[in-house]
Parts: sequence; C-alpha cells; structure tokens
Amino acid sequence: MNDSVSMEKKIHDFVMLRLKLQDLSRDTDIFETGIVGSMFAVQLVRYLETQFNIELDDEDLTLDNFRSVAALTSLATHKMRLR
Amino acid sequence: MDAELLKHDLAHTVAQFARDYICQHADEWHRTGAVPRKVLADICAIGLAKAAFNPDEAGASGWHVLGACFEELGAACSSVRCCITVQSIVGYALGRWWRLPQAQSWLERMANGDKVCAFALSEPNTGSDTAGIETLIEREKHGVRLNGVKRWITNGAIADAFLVVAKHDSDRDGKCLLFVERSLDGVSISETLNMAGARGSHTAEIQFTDALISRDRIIGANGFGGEVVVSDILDYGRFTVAWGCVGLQRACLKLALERAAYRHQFGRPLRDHDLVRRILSRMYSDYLSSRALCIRATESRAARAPDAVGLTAAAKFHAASCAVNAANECVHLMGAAGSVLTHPAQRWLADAKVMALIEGSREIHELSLVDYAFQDQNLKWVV
Repeated sequence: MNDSVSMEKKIHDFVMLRLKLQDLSRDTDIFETGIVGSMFAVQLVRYLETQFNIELDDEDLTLDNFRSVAALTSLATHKMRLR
Repeated sequence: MDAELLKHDLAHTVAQFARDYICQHADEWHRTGAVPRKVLADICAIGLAKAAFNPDEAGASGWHVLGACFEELGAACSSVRCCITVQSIVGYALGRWWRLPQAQSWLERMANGDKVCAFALSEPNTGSDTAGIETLIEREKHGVRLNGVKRWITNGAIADAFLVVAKHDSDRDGKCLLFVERSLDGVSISETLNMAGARGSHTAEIQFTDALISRDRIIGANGFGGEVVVSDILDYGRFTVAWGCVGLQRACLKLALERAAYRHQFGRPLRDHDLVRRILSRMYSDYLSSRALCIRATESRAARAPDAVGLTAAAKFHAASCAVNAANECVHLMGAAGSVLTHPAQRWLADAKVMALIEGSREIHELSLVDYAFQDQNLKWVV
C-alpha cells in the first residue's frame, strides 16, 4: 500500500469510526450530512496534526480542504511535502 | 490543587497569589464591579499568560499546570478567572492562527499584562445562536469596513484590542475574525454593564461604526476558517471555565463543611443531621466527579487528542451545573447569614449562574454532547 492510500484509509477510518455514517465514500461531503459542524473541524485539525505530524495554518482552513476524506488526504499530503 | 502540581513554580505562585491576595479582595471587587487592571496585569506577568498562550509548548505538563492555575483562580474569584480566561483565549488564537509579525509584538505585551484583550462574539440579538450574528464587514480597497454592536463582552471596558467575530455582507453563512485596536476611529465602549455575576470582569457593550480594518488583521477570512477558529477558541475557553468551576465548588464545599462542623441546631452540630449530611455528600461527589472529568479532559488535551473537544465540553457542562448546585446549597446551609448580599456565598451563586451560561449554555451542551457519545471508541458500536 503506498503512502497516500494508507493515509486516505487512516483518515477514512477516523471519520467513519466517529461519525458512524451508513455510507462514506472518499468524496462524501461530511459537512453536508448535517451531523457535523465546526467543532468536528477542530477535531479534524487536531487529528491531522498529531497523526501526520503537520501544522495547519489559517489559510488551510477552507471548506474545500475539509469537506471529504479525499480533500483531507490531499491537504495532509500537501502539508507533509512542505514539512 | 494536586500536591505534585504545587511543585511547579507557576502553579505554586498562582495558588499563593490567589490565596493570599485575590481571596482577600474578591468580595470588594464584586461590590465595586471591577477587578483592578493592575491585578490582572500582575497575574499575566507571573507567567500565566505566556503559558496559556501556548500550552503545548511546555509539553504534557503545560496543560495540567494551566488547569491547576484556573482552578485556583476559580476558587478565589470568578471575575478574575473570567478576565484571565479571555486574555488567554485571545492570546492563544493570535499565536495559533494570526501568524504575522505584529501578532508577536501584541503577544509579548499581553504576556506581561501591558495590554488586555477581549473576545467579541455575543451581540444584543445573538447568544448561543452564533450563526445569527449581525456584525458585518464590507470589502474596501485595502481591507474591510466593520459595523455592529457587541454586548456582554468580558474585559470589554478595559480592553486595548478586540478579537471581533463578524460576517461578510456578501456571504451570510461564514464568519471571520478581526483584530481591532480600541484606539481605531469608529470603536467605542457604549456601555459598561452592571452584571449580577462575574461582576468584576469589566463586561461591556462595544460599538463599531465604519471602523476600517486592514486586510492583514483578518483571521479565517474565507468563512469556514472563521467558524473553525471560533470553535477552537470556545473549546479552549471551556477548559478554563471547567477548571474554574472545580475551584468554585471547592470554595463552596469548604465553607459548607466548616459551617456543618461548627453550627449547632437542635442540640447538635449540623453535620449530625441526616438531611444536611445528604447535601454535603452530594456536593462532595459532584466536586470529585467534576475534578475527575477535568483531569480526563486535561490529559486528552495534553495528548492533543481529537477526543479532547468532547471531553472538555462534558467537563464544562458538568462542572458548571455542579457549581450552581454547590453555591445554591452553600447559601442554604449558611441560612440567614448567607442571604446577606455581601456574603461570599451570594457572590459564588451569582458567579456560578454565569458559568452555566457562558462557553456553551446548559442546553447547547445537552444538544451536542451526544455527538461525542457516538464518537466514543469505548462505547462499542457496530455499523
């Protein structure tokens, strides 16, 4: 399994285990489900930062970066490259 | 405070200052409606502000020391604890999310108490429903124009700058934050509020009229970012309020136990009356459970775990509810003496009611804590 696939699986498992969604694809918009709000985004910030040893900035906090497992994976990948 | 934590210089110094100075003046500040600015500056300068701006910097012990400090402040005077909470959460937000050189200069002056800041979220028409804020920004050539009224703002009357939550006029869904200096044209304190609880916290109403704010003073400009930063700030605030409420309960319990031991009615001390014993037993179990929840939330924050958000909310909800109960029972056990307006138990009761409203009212937590129950990995749940 290459890095970005295992990374996406980790993020998928994190979201799935917490939100207990019936169906979570890599592109499901988790904020559109209506069951999470900005406090879950705070949890995601903490998860991404500790899990992947990155630090997010003000400009990283966009809905496009946070809306799905795929988006979160590409944000984390991008930040790890900058590290 | 745990004996182990007292060995830490900062925790020890704050505990000593709280016991030897703040406690002696808390009733006076409650009466006059103002904690002297010098006292707040001194608490910051002890090192508490710097530690609170970046608790992760000190490693795992940073959070535990902070919790202990807020417990001591809460035991001594909730007004002081509120002011220091706000200074802390604004400093944290500036350091964490406003990564410009001017942030550093503000943080240094806030750390030594020269500058005091306020977090301006609530409005005359908006409390829990933060989506309903009416303070608006319009885009200008070099920044934005800010208009609106913020009310119930702790530190508001004395603040040198405000971290203001506003909405874009064009995008009614997203929030952003603006760092606004008080000296700016269009910023005025419209009223200092005569609160019942947390009376010394300089709670005020602030008016922003066509205040021009440069673009580099906006945090979370895209709307979503503003929502996340506000939630991050509130989460941190809850941590400090939760520990403050443990301290508040401790103060109530100590006085109630003393009263029960020395006050005699019907030929025996109050402690020998079964109904009084029930009150004290419940207060004690509330205090212990609040403390245990706060410690659990603190450990989780120290580990930078995502679960810390839910644990902190639960700790705040429980500790604040128990603080209201503890203060209420304390007044009750003090009888007529505790019904005099100048009695500390009256201050605790008024303060505790405020604690149950701020940083998420009881109902906000009752609506949302279940989300964290669904997330709790100890509650096995098969999809």
